Amino acid sequence: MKKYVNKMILSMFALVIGAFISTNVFAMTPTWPNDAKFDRGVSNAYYYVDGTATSYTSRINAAVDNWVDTGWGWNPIYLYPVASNYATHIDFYVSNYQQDAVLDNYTLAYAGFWDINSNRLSPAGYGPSVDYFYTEVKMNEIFDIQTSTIIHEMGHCFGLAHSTDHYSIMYPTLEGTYVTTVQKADHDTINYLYN
Amino acid sequence: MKRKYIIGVGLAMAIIATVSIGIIVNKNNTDLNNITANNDVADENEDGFETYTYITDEMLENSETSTMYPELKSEFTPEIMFNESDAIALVTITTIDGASMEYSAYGMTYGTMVVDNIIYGNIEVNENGLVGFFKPGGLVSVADYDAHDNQAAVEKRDYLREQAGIEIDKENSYMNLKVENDVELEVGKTYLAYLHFRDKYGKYEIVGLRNGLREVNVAQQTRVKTQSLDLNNIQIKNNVTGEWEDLDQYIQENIEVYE
Repeated sequence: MKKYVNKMILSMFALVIGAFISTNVFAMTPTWPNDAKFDRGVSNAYYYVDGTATSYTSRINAAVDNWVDTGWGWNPIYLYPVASNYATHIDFYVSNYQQDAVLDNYTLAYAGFWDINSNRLSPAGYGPSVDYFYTEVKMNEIFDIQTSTIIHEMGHCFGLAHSTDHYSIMYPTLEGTYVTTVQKADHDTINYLYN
Repeated sequence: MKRKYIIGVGLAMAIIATVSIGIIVNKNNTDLNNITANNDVADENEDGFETYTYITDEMLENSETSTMYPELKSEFTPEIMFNESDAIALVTITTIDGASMEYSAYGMTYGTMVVDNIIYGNIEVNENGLVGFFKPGGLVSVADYDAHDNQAAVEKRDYLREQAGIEIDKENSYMNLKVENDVELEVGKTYLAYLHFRDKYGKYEIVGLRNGLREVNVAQQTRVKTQSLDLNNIQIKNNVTGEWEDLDQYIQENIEVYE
């Protein structure tokens, strides 16, 4: 009886340790419902910088570089800039936000998702739940948008939802985000989605 | 015999009571179902303001729902909402008159409400007893959306539709824009609302998404009359947990501390 109890305790201990290790080694950033992502993959992807956003070109390119080479190993993202937005995956714009509207004054940027028929995607509150053709990043003209914000929005474009982890680039507020680059969990999630 | 008689009477009374309750409940539901779109503007008579929404079933059928996921500079905490608000009040929504991209990058739904109780600040009430409001998001026509969007983005959508052989009537096709972590608004319902006055339009923007708009546990009205509610006996809904919380405690902990 004592042997049996000891075996049980040992097994439960091993289970707990295993769960702890697996949680930390293979941590994932939340994804959209049904792991919705680019329907064309990301290995030969294009991005467009609108005339309204040309002042952010260097920061956008830096954000692209961070996703292509996260520093956490290989991932399938290869992104190239193009002059026309007709076939792109990600389009960057600066949009006209209303200075006297509170929500507009608190928004740095947002991402939108579209299918190939120009239908805007995402059922209320749950993110896109089907794969999408292209995305838009709309940056607020009121603010000086930092590279970390652009990285965050690109994370949405690739299929990452908001994270409750302050040490993820996908935390929902700038004030609450303690990192400025793609983290391992974000990188691992990209590999999970696109491999 | 006597026992059978008593059982029979009891059964009959139970049936009568059940049928009566069913009739009453059905009547109430029917009244609520009468809050549908029409072309009448809210009109007050002695029975209160008639409720109205511009949204028809046909519009909803011709719409695509779309959520926007903003990165905010900070969360809408009680302190931030307090600092951004000109007033905090219990309000009842009278009409939902429309939505447009003209008022915000997210689009704004606009309409009217009555003010039941002012908890903080002052509110300018119109001559007819109503107050105008804005709320982020809403059902906007594709034409309205395109008119306020980046030109290259509009051209891309037109190009992709052309490639797919799709033609749409932009005036009568709609986008149902929602902001992550926001809640729906319903005519006839009463809410605790944080309100920021937009001088340019003479309307109050409801601030704070789901944190700044909380349903109150009073009956939805079919004709809206100003209520003077006992703040000590009111509960408000926590939109994160779904639980009902005491309003007086909320006021102490989240409003009075910042005054």
